[in-house]
Amino acid sequence: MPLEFPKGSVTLDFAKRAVGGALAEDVEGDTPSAEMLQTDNAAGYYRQINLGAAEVTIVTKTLNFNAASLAFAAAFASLKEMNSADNITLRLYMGGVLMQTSAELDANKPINYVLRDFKALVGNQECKLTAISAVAGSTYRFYGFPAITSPCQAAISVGSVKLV
Amino acid sequence: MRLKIPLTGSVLDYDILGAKYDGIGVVGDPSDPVKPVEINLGHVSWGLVTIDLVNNLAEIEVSPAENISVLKDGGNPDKPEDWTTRPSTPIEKQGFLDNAKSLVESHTVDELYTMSKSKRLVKTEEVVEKYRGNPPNVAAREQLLSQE
Repeated sequence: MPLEFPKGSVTLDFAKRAVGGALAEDVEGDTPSAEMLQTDNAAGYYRQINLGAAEVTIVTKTLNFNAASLAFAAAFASLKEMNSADNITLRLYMGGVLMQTSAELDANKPINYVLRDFKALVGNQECKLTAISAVAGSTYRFYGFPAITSPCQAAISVGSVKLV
Repeated sequence: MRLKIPLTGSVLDYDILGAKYDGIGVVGDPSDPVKPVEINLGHVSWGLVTIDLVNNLAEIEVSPAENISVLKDGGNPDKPEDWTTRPSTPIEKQGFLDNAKSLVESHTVDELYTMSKSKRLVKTEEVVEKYRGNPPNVAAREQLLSQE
């Protein structure tokens, strides 16, 4: 899910203070985490994952941010729960801080879900989408394109504005 | 609706400059992220507003779930196809918020840590002093959040 951010020199009137700077683009999708690959389906239409009490990383993006960057992250997943009792919660982390949490998603049918937020990030920082379920042994399928080598059932895109 | 929930995880640093822009400033350990204690708030989503590093509290903006799943008349609860998803009603939405609020506010901080089996927030006094001297600009964050 590529995000297009404007480029070029700008002056931001931010919090009533003019800040000169240049908009930069850090845009890239991501591949599923290794944990997502545990029970890959041969057809390649989806990847299946079992969740228990432990939180599982779905996609991660690590970038090296400028000394004063305001970053925006948007995470996307297309998923379906396979057991009626399952409830999945998606979480968005930025720079080691939990920023957004979805409600318990009753995904009896395939749903698309987006989490997004912004945070000031400096240096090498990680943004990631995770999933957790209150029901042990819950099974979910993340849907994507029918290609085994380049699936894209979930993605996280990160853009940043350099403030100085 | 806003709630304050005790924090767990490990703080690596406090970004003074960043806190002016994002209203948070806290840099967490990716392997032990800073987050509210693990309590299930139910059919609500939430977003972080700010972090109080002195009192170890996260202030979050809580919103009710827009949709819920219900069992079809005569349906078998063990069959996913017998469930259907529909928009939450205004009364249900208020109930979701009331439940989350009650869960948090009917317990002490110590009880929430015990219930969630979460450890206390790990931080250094140096980081707390940076926070005290340069508190986060929460107004800047609220300004950006209000633009959504």
